[in-house]
Amino acid sequence: MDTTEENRLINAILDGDVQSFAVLVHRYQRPVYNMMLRMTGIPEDANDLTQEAFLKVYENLERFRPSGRFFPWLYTIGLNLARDHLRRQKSTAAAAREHHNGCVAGVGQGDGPRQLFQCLDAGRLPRLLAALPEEYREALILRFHEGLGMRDVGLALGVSTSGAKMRVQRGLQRLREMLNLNKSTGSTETD
Amino acid sequence: MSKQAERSRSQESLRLLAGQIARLPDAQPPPGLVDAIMGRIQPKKRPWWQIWMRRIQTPWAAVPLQAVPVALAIILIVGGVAFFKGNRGGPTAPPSDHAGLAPVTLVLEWPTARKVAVIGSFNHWNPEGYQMHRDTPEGPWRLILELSQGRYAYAFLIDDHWHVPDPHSLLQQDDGFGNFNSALIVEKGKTNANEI
Repeated sequence: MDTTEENRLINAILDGDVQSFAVLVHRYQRPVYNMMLRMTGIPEDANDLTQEAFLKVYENLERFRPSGRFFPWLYTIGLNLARDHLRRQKSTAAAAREHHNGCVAGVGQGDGPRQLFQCLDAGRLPRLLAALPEEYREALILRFHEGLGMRDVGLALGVSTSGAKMRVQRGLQRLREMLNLNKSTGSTETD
Repeated sequence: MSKQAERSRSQESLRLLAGQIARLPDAQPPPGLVDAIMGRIQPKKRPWWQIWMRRIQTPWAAVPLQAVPVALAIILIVGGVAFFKGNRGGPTAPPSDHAGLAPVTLVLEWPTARKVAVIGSFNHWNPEGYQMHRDTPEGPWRLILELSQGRYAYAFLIDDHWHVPDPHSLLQQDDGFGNFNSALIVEKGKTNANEI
């Protein structure tokens, strides 16, 4: 969905057409729900927070600037809600509590880049990501999983474009370090 | 190992990692999520001053009905003059939407392919006119596109049959029909789908 189409929908919503909002919810429920799930680790909480995020966006739609993109704005609101929720719960994200252990000893022999990733199956990557600080994790997800440009990553996370680039780069490096560390120490799954 | 080789290996591992993140499976939102949200909202109503502001800012909304034929006549006259001027063979300005287009080169190494086309959201998944070419019989297939700012999904169509995402693209997305497409972002006159 491009910016023009989004702005057309937003104008229609402001004119009283609620069904146009259903189009936006349908389009963006997946990334918002998955972000909430990464933050809380609890599907029920993720469901409630996703609803809250869209309701807050709806309430504040008059404040949306048509020059910007809708998704980064929605993401910022969602992230803030999730952070508030975690503060209220006085707990760290359930996802972050998980231990991360990348490579099991003996797997991924050799030290070339491809060998390093032989041990990174689809189940381990989410655990490694969960162990990253939120600022890096969400930057990586927005950039590579949601396919946002660096400017939009920055807008969603409330940092400059160069700040977004730095987070993406450092996030990748940290993930690689975690893989290397686990590989060299030969640690095993503990969760 | 030389520093350059080390740097190259380091970059490759980061790119592989980014590719893994791109392909992470998503959790499906609960089925009733959209309905639950929609059940909690009421239609909006703009305040009276906003309605008036919009009317002022939208000239045709305030134009009396009698003025429409006059406006049409003006458009026809101005358009006719522009048409005849444009056909005198003189230099013509590029179309206004040409500004902001960025050249995007797509490359695919597929030596055994007999023909390759690019399909994507920019050509409505129609390969006609988007055939790739190669300089040598075994060389890589290439096509230069000119795209405006935005995000596009695309894939290669090999021998009119095989739907293949771009192996060099870090961004991949499921099309919901069992295929994967690559994603391309054109941002302020440059592409950055592979920027890490």
